[in-house]
Formats: sequence, C-alpha cells, structure tokens
Amino acid sequence: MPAYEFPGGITLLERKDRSNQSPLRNAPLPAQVTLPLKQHTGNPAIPCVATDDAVQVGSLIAKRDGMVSANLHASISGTVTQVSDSAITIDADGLDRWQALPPLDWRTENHAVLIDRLDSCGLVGLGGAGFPSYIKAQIADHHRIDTLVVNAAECEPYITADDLALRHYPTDIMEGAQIVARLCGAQQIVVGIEDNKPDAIRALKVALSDFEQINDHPTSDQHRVNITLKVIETRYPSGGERQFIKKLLNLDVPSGGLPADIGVLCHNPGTLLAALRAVRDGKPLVERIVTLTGDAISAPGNYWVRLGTSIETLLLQAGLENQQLYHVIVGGPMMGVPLSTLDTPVMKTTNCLIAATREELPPAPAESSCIRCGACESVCPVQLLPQQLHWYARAESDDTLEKLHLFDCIECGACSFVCPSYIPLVQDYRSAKQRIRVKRIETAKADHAKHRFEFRQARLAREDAEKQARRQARRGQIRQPSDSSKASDSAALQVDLRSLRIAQTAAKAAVRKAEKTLARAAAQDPNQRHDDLETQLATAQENLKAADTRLTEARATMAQQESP
Amino acid sequence: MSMMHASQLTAKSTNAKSLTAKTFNATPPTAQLMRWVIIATLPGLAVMTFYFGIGVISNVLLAGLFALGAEALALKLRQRSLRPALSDSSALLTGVLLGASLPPASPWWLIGIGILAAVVVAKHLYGGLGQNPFNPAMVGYALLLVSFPTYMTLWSPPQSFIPENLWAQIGGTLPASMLDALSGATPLDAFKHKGEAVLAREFWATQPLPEGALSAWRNVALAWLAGGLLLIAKRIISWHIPVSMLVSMALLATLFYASSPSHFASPFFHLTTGAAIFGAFFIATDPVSAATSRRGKLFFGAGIGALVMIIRTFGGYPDAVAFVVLLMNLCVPLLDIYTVPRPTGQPKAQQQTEQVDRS
Amino acid sequence: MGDAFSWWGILSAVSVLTGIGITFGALLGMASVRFKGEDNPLVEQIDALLPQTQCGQCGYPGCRPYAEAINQGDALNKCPPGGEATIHALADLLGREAEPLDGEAATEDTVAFIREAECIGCTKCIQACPVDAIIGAAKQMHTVIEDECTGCDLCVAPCPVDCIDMLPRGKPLSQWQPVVNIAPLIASDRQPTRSQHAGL
Repeated sequence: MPAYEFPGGITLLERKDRSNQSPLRNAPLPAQVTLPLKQHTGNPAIPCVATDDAVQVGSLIAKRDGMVSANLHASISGTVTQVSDSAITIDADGLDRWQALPPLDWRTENHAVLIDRLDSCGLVGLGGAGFPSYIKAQIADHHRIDTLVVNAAECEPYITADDLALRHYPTDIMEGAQIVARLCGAQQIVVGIEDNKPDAIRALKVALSDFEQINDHPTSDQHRVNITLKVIETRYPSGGERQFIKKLLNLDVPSGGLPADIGVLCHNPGTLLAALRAVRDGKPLVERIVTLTGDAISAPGNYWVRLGTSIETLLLQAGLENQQLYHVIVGGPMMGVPLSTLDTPVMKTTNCLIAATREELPPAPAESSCIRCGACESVCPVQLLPQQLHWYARAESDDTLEKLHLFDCIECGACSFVCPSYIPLVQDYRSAKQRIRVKRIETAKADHAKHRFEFRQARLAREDAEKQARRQARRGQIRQPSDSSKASDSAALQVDLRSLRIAQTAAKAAVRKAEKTLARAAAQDPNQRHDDLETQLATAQENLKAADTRLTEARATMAQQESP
Repeated sequence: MSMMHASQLTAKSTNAKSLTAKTFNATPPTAQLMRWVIIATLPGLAVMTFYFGIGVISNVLLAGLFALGAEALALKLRQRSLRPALSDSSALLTGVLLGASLPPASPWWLIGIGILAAVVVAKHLYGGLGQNPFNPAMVGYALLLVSFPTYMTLWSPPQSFIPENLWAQIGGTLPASMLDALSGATPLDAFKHKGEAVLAREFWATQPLPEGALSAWRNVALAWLAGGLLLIAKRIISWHIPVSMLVSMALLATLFYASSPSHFASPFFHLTTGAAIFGAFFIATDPVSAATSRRGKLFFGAGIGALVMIIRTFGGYPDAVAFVVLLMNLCVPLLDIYTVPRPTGQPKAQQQTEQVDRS
Repeated sequence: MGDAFSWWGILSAVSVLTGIGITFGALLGMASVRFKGEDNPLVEQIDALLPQTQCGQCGYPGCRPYAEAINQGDALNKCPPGGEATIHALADLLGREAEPLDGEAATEDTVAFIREAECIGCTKCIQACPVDAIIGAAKQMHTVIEDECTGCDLCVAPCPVDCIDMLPRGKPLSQWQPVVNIAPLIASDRQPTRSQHAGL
C-alpha cells in the first residue's frame, strides 16, 4: 500500500501510553452542567428554554442561528437554572432520563431525512474545529465527492480518544462512515491510521472483514462502497487535514480551498460514531470521549463525558493532585491552549485535557534572537518560510506576510518545536493572522462607507441638476432671452455643451463598467450579496442621470437662444 | 501555542520507552549550536598547530578573549544584560573563526582591530546577534587584509612548533626587517605570482614552495573537512551551502583546467589550498548572513564557489573567500525574495500567473 | 594621416555614443511600456488610508476632499477617527514627518442612537448623515441603521430636540485581538528589552 509524503514534519515524544492502557470508562454524571451556546464554528445557538424549565437528556435547549451553526441539547436531565448570553446552566436531578428521537434505518431512509437528523442532533466535527456536520453532509450539492477519508491519525502526543473509540466501536464507526459516504455519494472510504495504534488497527481489520462478509451477499446493500485501511508512519502533523490527504491519496488541497474541491471529504472517527448514534439510536450529541492525561492525575484514561461538565470536577474525579499541577492544556500539547481557569466546561470540541506537571511540560525558556538557522523551514509541512514570516510578523509588514502565504500556515507548531532560540513562532503567526483579518474587516467597512458617501454625493448632485433644470425651464417660459451679447453667450454654451457631452459619455461608460463588474461578481458567487457593487452601480447611475439632466438643460437653453 | 519543545526530548521523562524510540530531526538550542561549531573547529586547529606552530593557538586564544571582551563592551554600551548574550558563545565563535583565518602568531593589536571590526562594527552596530547582514568574522578579516597586507601574508612555512621569536611576533615588536624573512608564500600565493609566461609544469618544477607546504595545506583542509562533516552529521549545518560551494568550485576549476592545463591549477589544488574547505563549512554556513530557503542556500553556495574561482584565477587576490562571502551576503535579500518555495496547495507558477491575469 | 585618424576617431566615438544612446533609449522606452506599474494616483492611495467615516472633523466635506487637500500639502494630523495609526501610515506613504494629532483621538467605536420617543421627525439629521444611515420621513420617527453608521456624530448637532446619543459600539468577539507582548524586532537601544529586565 503506497503511502505518499508531505514535506517537513517532526517526530515527537508520544506519551500516549499513559492514557491508552486503561479501557474506556464512563465519567460520573455531573451535578451541574454549563453548556456554552457557541461550541462550534459559526453563529452561537439561540436559547429556546427559560429558567426553571425541566429538561431531559437530549432535550433541545438552543436552536441553531443561520446556516453555519448547530443545535444544542441538554446533556443531563434536570432543571435549567440560568440562561445567559453565552451559556445555559442545568442542575441535574440525578435521574438521567432520556428524550431520544425515533431511530432511523440509514440504509432505507432518504438523504433529506438523514441530513435533517444530523442537523437536529447538533452534530459537529469532534476533531477540533467543530464545523456543523449537516453542512458537510450536503456537500454533494456543490461538489462531486468520490472519497471519504476517515482521519484516525491522531498525530498529537497524549491524545488517545480516537484510538480508544476505534478499539471499542470499530463496527459502529465504520457504519457511521458508510452513512456519511452514502450522503455525500463517495465511492470509496479510506481509513488512515498511524502505526502507533496497533490495537485499533487490529480492531479495524476485524470490523472490515466482517463488513466484507456482509457485502458478499448481493442483496444486502444497493450502495456499495469500497473500504480500505491505510496504516501510515507516525509523523507529526500527519493528522492535519491537508497533510493527511496528501499522505493517503497523494492529492494537494488547493490553498484557500476545501478537500471537497478535489473530491475528498474528511471526517474524524468520533464524529462518525456520533453520526451513527444520532441516526440509529436517535441520540443527540450530548456526550463525547475525552482523554484525561498528564502526570498530575492519578487515573489517566479515556472517559465518556457529558458535555458541559466542569473540567475541574472531571480532573478531580480522575485523581488530580493540585500541588503537582502546573497547567491544564485543552487539546494536544502542540496546538492546544493552556486554560487560565479550570472552571470551564467540556465542549463538543474538547478532545483531550492534559493536567501537566512542571517537569512534564515546562515553560518555554527565554526567547533569544533568531539566527536564521532554517530548522523551522525544514520541518514546515506546508513549505513556508517560518523564519521570514516571523520577521515580517513582528515588523507588522502585512503585505509581505500575505505574499509569503501566511494564511496557508496550519499552525501545527512544528516550527516552534524545533526553534533553537525558543521563539514562539506560531503565536506570532496567530496574532498576525488575527490582525490582518481585523484589518480586512475594517477596510471593507471603510470601503462600504465610502461608497455610500459617494452615492449620496451623486444623488445630491443629480437632485441639484434637476432643480436647476426645472428652474431654467420656468425662467425660459416667463421671459424671452434678450438679444444683447447673444453671440458671445452661444459661443460659451457651445463649449459648455461639448464638455457636458463628454461628461455624459464618461458617466455612461462608468455605468456600463459598474454593471459589468456586478454581473461578473454575481456570476462568480451567485449566493453572495454584492451590496457594495450595487451601491457603486447606483452611484454611477445617479451620476449619469445628473449628466443627462445637465445636457438636456443646456440643449434646451441653446435651442431657445437660437430659435427666436 | 506549542507547549512542547525539542529541548524536552533530552529531558528526563517518566516514560523511558518513548524516549529511546525515535531519531529526532531537531536542532539543539542556539548556545549549544554555537558550541558545537567551536568544537568542530578543533581538528582543523589541531592540524594547523601541528604544521604552523603554537602561533595558531595564540591567535585563537587572543581572538576569543578579545571577542568576549568586545562583546561585553558593546553590550555594556548598549545597556544590555551581559549574561544571556555572552553565554550563547556567538562572540566566542566569531573570535575562533577569525583567529583561525589569521596567519600564525599574528600581533595582538592586529587581532584586536580585527575583532573590534567583527564584533562591534559588523555585529552590534547592526543590532546584535541575528541582525547582522554580513559575516562578522569575514568583515574583520577583510578589513585587516586591505589595511595590513604585510601582516596578513605572513604565512610562514611549516616550521618548528615554537618559533624562536614568538613573543616578539605576538607582541608586535618584531622589526620590519625581520618580517620579510618570516613571510612565506602560501601555495595559492605562489601560483598567483608565477607570471603569465611560466607554464604550470615549469612552475612546479622549480619547487617554488618550501618542503611539505602543499601536503601541509592539504592535511589542514582534510581536518577542516572532518570538522565540517561532524557539523552536518550533528545537523548543526545543512549540507546545501558547503556542497554547492565546493561543487561549483570544482566545476569551474575543472573547466579552466581542461581548457588549458598548462596555465591553470588543477581542481584538486584549488579545493585543498587556501580557505576553500574552511570557508565552505565554517564561514559560508553562518546562518545569520546566509540565504534561508534550501534553494536559496544552493544558489548562495554556488555563487561563493564561482566567485572564489573567478577571483583566484583572474582577480588580484590569491584567495578571496572573505570578500566573496561578503559579496554574496549582499545578495542574500535578493536570493531570499526569489527563492520563496511554493507552499503545498498553492498553484504552480504558470497557474499563478493565470490567476493574476484573471483578477 | 594623423588628422584623418583623429577624425575617424571622433566620428566613431560620436556614432558609438549615439548608438548606445538610441539603444538604451529604446530599451527604457520598452521597459516603461512593458513593466508599466499599476496606475494608482496618490490621492487614491491617501484616500485608502483614511478611515472613511466622512465625519468632516478635518474641516473638509468628507474623506476624499481631505485626501485631495493632503495631496496639495495640507497637514496630516487632522483626522481624529484615524488617530495616530493613520497619521503614521500617511507619513510613511508621503515621506513626511508624522505630527501629533490635532484634537482628541476617538477612544472607541461609537454608533448614533435616536431616542425614538423624543424624535419629532424634522429630517435634519437625515440631511446631515454623510452615508445615508438614517431612515425616516418628515413628521415620522427616524432611526439609525446600525451597520451603516460610521459614528461621525454629524447628526448630533443639527437635532433640535437633542435626542441623538453616541453610544459605544461593542466589538464582536471574533475581532478580538490578543494582547501579545512581543519584543521589538530591531532591539532599540533607547529602551531596554524584556530580557533586559529579566536579566538584571
């Protein structure tokens, strides 16, 4: 089985065997959960419950707002105690009563029903970004997908949530993959997994051979997909979506594009498991597998955790020793963020909590000057020039940064990892990216205001010209022009007329240009609104009207002067 | 925000199994990096001492000492804290490299002036470590070469381990009349000044060099090569610059030699004399003033090799590694602009222009 | 023979020089056509740096007129909404010295808000708004389109009943910028660096 290579990458200390030795356990039911309204990419959900409402596990408590958003469900049964701008708090009644949706058979139901189910269950990508899954399932509307890749690489150190999920539910995950493959019309499923998870690989192989036996019966299924398992070498960041696709299929996802542009859809095993549970069992997304690890806890391992459980409670249950604790990191040690407070709930995207001691993940030594050694460049999986980016990011040369493709950076942290001067490179890139994003928004806002201002000026000018014309017309009716100085007047008018004609032609051209720009933009992006371009067109039209009015007025005056 | 750093890989971990498993492609921290380069100069220095006497050691010691002093002085004037900057050994390295390139037992004032130019002018006036556009050691060397040519050509023939007037030499009290007696030509010098009419074969037949000079230089070069290979093996430097520089030198030398073996020296001669090997592994690879991308490094090295050959063959200097490195340092910003690699997922060059046309 | 030779020499020198002149002239001409830069007049570039609030605090009716005035040599420091950042950007663009801001800098984003109960529908604010961000008709209540308002406060003064407030506009969380304490790229010798503090 060929495995292709992405450039760069590093080999890391894995530290996975702390959490992958013990089986998957259920965390105790929390007494209280706090469910943030924004646990996903896009708009926060809108609460649809009030304080003191009784809820059950799986009750809808907040509805998605707009297209890119996700529903939110109660993760314990009990009473809503607080609904704030950002979160809903529920106190448990300890009964754990479920309110599940009716089960569906994904082999027979039609696509719309299944997509609706994913939507109503609030399913989002559990790998980290939290992108709403129902949108991803509709991808077939715009793109032709031929491959679904299941990203079980889990390349960051410490994290073993997908590993354990695959060991315990290989069949369920592969069935979930088939649901998604059916929805997006993929012909084949490729599962990629790093070679440091032998147990998960074994479990997957067993599950796949079972599937083959089922598939051998010709009657069993009308949509048959070809499933392959690819074991890849352990190298960070092989689990990055682009790197993963490169490694598995030898395809490059275009910069700024999506895997769908090259006919690939990528899903995390945890998401697929949740998808199956949503469809088969009617269970909304209310719990997930979280890796609890680090030297500061005595019972590391993987747990099914209800969303909204306080991280502090969770870690204490896993035997947190507070004196040992240096910091808690959400996510992996490479891309995760340290928590400033433990009073934070577990969210849909929380895949790992590392309670690290100081010796385990020490603070970075003091940063020294960049000596341009190029170590960062040789490990960058996107082939950027991290050290050039670092210089320009600190100098705030934003144009140069974009020329050096800053936005292609996946923030994997490989460069920071190898930097001999301990420069927090990724931190620089993140703040530079955010700075540029804010700047773009501000520029767009300023442009918008400018166009509105120009439109207003044009409108005022047009109204002025029309008023002038009306006044002139009235004056013409009242009194005949005097004969004196007629010759010089008409000469001046001639000149005036010519410049007005030129102005009118220019205005016409401007209108045509604006129309063309708008039409092109509309053709490129039919779903987007082009308010600014429309304003610009309206401005050009106003200008044309003003020019027209002035011209006709001048012509009328001319005619009056010549006729008598 | 990366919590992990390569430096942890050397730290003791509770988990021994994962530590032993893999080879890591990580560079050591900056200070260690500098120390490794200094360590890698030892074979070269040892062989040089063997052939050219204790004067080599005195050079390196004096230069290193002066470099630390100059660094401390500059930091003091710039109101910087001394310890972090001094402990990264970058100044010491500059001193060692400059000391190694000077003729043995150079007078102390000569070394002092060179170090001042290198550390204070070339490094700190530009903003300190990481900010200097030029290779500090070579700035010092070039300044000395143009200012004190007499002293800079005192490559005495292979001689006794401790020369008789060592102290007078180092103290700079040696009368001028004695200087000429000391001066001996390097092989490159001798070949340069053989005169147009003299054919190479005739020239070598006259035995222009003292006994053993050629083999001495060759062995020194081999020792530098050993140190350089150590640096590559330890991933302190990448192979791109040394290889491209030596290959381009060898290619040009072969070309010249093939065109007229009677006038030009052989490629082997060019690679084993002068500062070719030393320059390729220790000077041109200074990361701060070299090109950054891998492609840029290849061009940078090739440019140095080509220019060295051109100056050696047609220019006024017998060897010109210092000037050439400085010249190529000048080209680095340009190289950096034109060798930006294409990130994964970015369209290829042709598609890119199409995109621009469309927009 | 000497004479003839020197004549020849002068002629050849002149012709060579003329030839060189023509060749390079042609090359330059070709280059200027071939590598013609993007036509972006200075006024456009200045205008692009201004914040486009159209507030008129600079004394000109809008940003564009101020951009034209700057191009004519007017001072750079008359734009309070832009603040120091705009002044520095303008100074960089024009190669002039940055001057301190004339007037008080806008401390935060604001948006106009009409207390609708008090509005008498006089349309004065509508006429004053440079970006048509107020809707309403005579003797009808007016209101501000929040997304279009630039916070220029030109509508506040004309209001006869003083029912317009400038309220602070909160920034969405997605536009939050982390405060990163990064050592300056070129360590300035005027101010000690961070590591300095740590070291001493």
